[in-house]
Amino acid sequence: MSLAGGAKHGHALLKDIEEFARVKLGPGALYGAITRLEERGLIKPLESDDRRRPYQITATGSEVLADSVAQMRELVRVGQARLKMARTPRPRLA
Amino acid sequence: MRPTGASAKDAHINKGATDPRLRWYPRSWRARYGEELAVLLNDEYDGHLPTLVHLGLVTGGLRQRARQSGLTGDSAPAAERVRAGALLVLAAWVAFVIAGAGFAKFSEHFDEALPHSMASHRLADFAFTVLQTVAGVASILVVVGALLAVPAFVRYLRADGWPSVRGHFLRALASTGLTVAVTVPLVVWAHHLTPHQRNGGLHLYGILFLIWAALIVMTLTMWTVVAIVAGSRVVFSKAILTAEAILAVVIAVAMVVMVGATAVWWGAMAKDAPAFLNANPGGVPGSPWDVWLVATVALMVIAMGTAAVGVVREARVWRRVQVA
Repeated sequence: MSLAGGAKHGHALLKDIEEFARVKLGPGALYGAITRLEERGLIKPLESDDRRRPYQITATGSEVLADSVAQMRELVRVGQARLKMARTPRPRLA
Repeated sequence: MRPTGASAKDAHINKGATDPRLRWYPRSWRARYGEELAVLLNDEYDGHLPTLVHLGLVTGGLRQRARQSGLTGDSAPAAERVRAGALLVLAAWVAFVIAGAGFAKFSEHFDEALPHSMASHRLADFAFTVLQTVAGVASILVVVGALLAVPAFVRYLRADGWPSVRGHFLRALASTGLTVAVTVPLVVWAHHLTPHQRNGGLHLYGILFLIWAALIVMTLTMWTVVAIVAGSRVVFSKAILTAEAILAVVIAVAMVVMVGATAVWWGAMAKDAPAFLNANPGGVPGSPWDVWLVATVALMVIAMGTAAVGVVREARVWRRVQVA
C-alpha cells in the first residue's frame, strides 16, 4: 500500500508505514515482505545510482491492492452498519 | 529511476552477500537483497543493532531458508516441496532415533520387573516387540532411502558439488573421530565396573556417559545436516523422488505406530510394575511420570509431529509432481 503513493526504498518504506499504519516494521520483516511481493510480481525494483534500491508497485500489484481495499471497504461498511444497530435501543424480548 | 534488468541485479551481487549480520539468510538471497538490507540497517541503526532487530534478522533468514528449500510457502517448485517434505521426515527420524535410544536405556530389563504371571507380561512384551520390530523395519527403509540417493549424490560431487558439503562433512567427520576416541576408553572402563557402578553408583562414570551421549547426538545431528545439505542440492529423477517420498510416508507412519506402542508399554508398566517407572533417583514413588521417560516420549511425539508436517507438505503437491 505504501508503494501506491510512489516508489520508495527500504528506509522510506519503513517511515511511511510507521506514519500511515502506525506499525513499526523491522528490517527483517520488511525485506521478507519485499521478497514475497517481488516473487509474486506485485512490486518491482528500480535502478538507482546509490546502494538504496527503490521499489515500485506493478500494474498487477495495483489491481491486487484495489481488490484488497475494496474488501476492506466492504468490511468497514458492514462493521459500521452493525455497530449502528448495536447502539440503537431495541425492545426487550418477552 | 528506471525498472532494473538482469544486469542491474547481477551488479548487486556483492558486499551485502558477505555481511555477517545477514549470515542467517541463504546465499542466493543475500546476493540479491543483501546489500540493500545492509544499507538499510546502517541507515536505521548506525551499526548498533538492537537485540530485537537482530532477532528479526535471524528469524527472517531462517524463514527465507525454509521458503527457498520448499519447506514453507508456495514459491518453490512442486518437486522441491516434495523433496523438502521428505528431508523433514529424515530430520524427524533422527530426532526419533535419539529419543528411541533414551527409551531403550530406560526400558532395559523391564521384563524382570513384571510380576511372574503371563497376563502381566503379555501386553508390555507385545508393545515392546512391536516397537522393536517397527523400529528395525523403519531403520532399514531409511538405509534404502539413503542408498537410492547415492547415484545422484555421486553425480553431484562429480559436478563440483563437493565444496558445498565439504565444511559440513569435515565437521561431521571430526565429531565422529572425537566420539570414537571417547567411546573406546569408556567401553573399556565400563567392563571393569559393576552393574551398580554403571547405573548411577559411580558419579564420574555417569558424567562421562552423559558427555558420550551428547557426543553421539552431536555426531548424528552433524551427519543429518550433511544428508540434508546434500539431499537438498542433488538432482533426483522423478522415479527416485517418488520412491523417497513414499519411503518418507511409510517412515512417518512407523513413527506413529512406535509412539502408540510406547504409550501401550508405558500404560502396561504403570499398571503391572509401577516401581520400575520410578527407579531413577528423585522419582516419586507410585507415580508413572518419570522425568526421563516423559522427556523421551515428548521428543518422540515432537519428531512424529514434525514428520507429519513433512508428509502433509508432500501430499499437498504430490499430484502436481506426478503430472509434471
